[in-house]
Amino acid sequence: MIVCPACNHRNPSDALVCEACGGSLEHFVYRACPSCGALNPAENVFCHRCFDDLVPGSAETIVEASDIPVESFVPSEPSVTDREEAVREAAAPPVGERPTSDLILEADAEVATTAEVVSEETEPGPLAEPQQLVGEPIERLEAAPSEPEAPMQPSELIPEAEEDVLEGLEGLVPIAAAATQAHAFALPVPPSVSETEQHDAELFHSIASERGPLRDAARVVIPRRARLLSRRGRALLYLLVLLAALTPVFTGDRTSLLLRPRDSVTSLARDIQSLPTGSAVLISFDYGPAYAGEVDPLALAVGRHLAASQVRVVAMSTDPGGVGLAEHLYRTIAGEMPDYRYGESYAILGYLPGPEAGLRTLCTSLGKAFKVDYVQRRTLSELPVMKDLTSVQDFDQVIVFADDSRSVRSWIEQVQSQCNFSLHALVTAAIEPMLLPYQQSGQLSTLIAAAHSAGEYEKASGMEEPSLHWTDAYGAFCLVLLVTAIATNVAYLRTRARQRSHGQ
Amino acid sequence: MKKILPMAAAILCGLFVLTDFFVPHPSIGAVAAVLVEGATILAAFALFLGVVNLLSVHGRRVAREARGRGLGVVLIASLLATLAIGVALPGSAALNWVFDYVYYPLQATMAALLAFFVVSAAYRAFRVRTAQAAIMLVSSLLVIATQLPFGQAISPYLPIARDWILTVPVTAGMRGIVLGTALGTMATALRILLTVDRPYV
Repeated sequence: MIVCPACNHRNPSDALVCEACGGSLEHFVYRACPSCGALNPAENVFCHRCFDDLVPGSAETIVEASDIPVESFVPSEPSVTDREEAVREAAAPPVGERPTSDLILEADAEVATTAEVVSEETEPGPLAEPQQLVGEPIERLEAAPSEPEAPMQPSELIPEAEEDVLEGLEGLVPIAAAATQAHAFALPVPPSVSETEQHDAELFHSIASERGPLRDAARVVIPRRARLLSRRGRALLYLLVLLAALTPVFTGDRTSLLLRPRDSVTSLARDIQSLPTGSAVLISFDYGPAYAGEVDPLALAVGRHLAASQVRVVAMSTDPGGVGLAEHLYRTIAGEMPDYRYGESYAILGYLPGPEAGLRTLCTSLGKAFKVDYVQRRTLSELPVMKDLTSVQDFDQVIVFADDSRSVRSWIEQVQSQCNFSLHALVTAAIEPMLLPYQQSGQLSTLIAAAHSAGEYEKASGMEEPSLHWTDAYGAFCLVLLVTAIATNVAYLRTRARQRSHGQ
Repeated sequence: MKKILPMAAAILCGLFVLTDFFVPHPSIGAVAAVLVEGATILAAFALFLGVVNLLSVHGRRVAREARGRGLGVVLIASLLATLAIGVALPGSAALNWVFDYVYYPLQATMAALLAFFVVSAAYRAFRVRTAQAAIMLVSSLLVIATQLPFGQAISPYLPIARDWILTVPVTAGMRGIVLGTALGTMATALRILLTVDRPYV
């Protein structure tokens, strides 16, 4: 298990990216504490939970020598000592080119205030209060009295640089002269230790650092690298997808000959066929352009069938993108059938906001839900196609095209439960399983996963239209998926067999 | 008073709409219809607020010359242009052009990329590492095979297998989820009606 450092999500041990936030986990290595099992970053010496030592012997080293390098704990954060050294190194080349006093005079108040920042990180000496240095000019810092115990004179610590000494250095506090000045004061002399105190300290140390008899050294947990698909393999897969998309160009309409309409598709086609001339159907385009490739062919096939049957169609949408799709689709149908006119044969009411509440309004009045239609901006009563249609109950059938199961559920729960009409859901294949319970309970008269159903519908309704071509690409893509799933397992099993043979 | 009034309004509105479900009385239905219509207007107004917020966020980003301000400029310009065309010329050829040649292709392209991800993911995920993975693989292969337009031509048993998978294990699982969701919704509704939860205050 790898705990994501960004979001704390617990990922499988072979994860390369976090399942929750998508952050990279490739470079994280953990040490499992032998005492409590907590996972610690690899650079930790002590367990963050129980403070047990993760590296054998580290406790003794630290207690006895007290000189564990800071890099061992916080590699990314340079200590103040590191900064001093780095500043000295950076300032080294210009030494001698300019006198120190020039540098001091050029230093401004901003430079001096950096003393505040850095002095907070350092422990102030008894004779030097960092607060006294805040905002003070550099000259005063230089003139500050230094203790005899101070290892270095302030003038030695002031960087003698012609240019900005920070240029090109990362992670450093700007112009560390003031900081080093504050840091340079001597630390207090430790009080003398009596023999008894020394004995007590040694006893405490031996008890605190004693290792348990059953404790082993920490185990380093390295996330197992999942075998990624090589670039060539990925390119091959993508090429196969591309070929699948282009299949209709090469194959024509051959696979449609093999199509056999499913019972649900035949049932819908029969329902629409049985509608008398002049009856009305409400169609809701509750899907966006993202899924238009899947749903549009079926919507086009159903729309053509309704138009051929001279059934009045009223379209609407609970998805803002659905209105444009409806307009696009009916423009196509109207272009194919000159007698199919807007306002007389069909109308598009527009987008209905407020998913549940908006749909509830349809039970009482269409006019309240839609003041005017989408295309001609006329009140609904002015449209001939809306004659005798005041609420959703006046329609003979209601068809919902959807890419979201919540939309269909809203139709069932908010509208059909109140108005009791025949509801057909023509949806994307992804949400079909989510709506199966409603079909089995009888609330949905028809549930069809769009995908290649357009071809089936056209066969069931006795129409021959170009949407049949879509089935070739769809079938080819399914084949690519099948081949991929089989190929990955063949490769995986062969690798396992090879590893076993090497192990034996 | 600041809390009591919103709570009373929420309880009354909720009870009226709920009662309308169970008591088909015209007077209750009329009041519930007004309330539901109000909710629709509020939802439309929420859209307006969303647009204002979007403009405000990206406007600030552009004004501060923050990172990604170029995208903010594109977003604001596109939003205002589409809004202007949609309000001034609803259902016009210009609006159809924006939909057909900008919005539709962009959305379709984004969705089409999913095909590549699905195949790549199938290569990495469909490995028979455990018994559960084997069950998932066999089920997936069956369902994919039955999705083939000519699946029935391959074997008449493929659709039967698919129907069994969808109507027995899948529907059982989905029914459990639907029932759980319904119970959760009821509990939430009761908590709001009893003012245990007051998200509107």
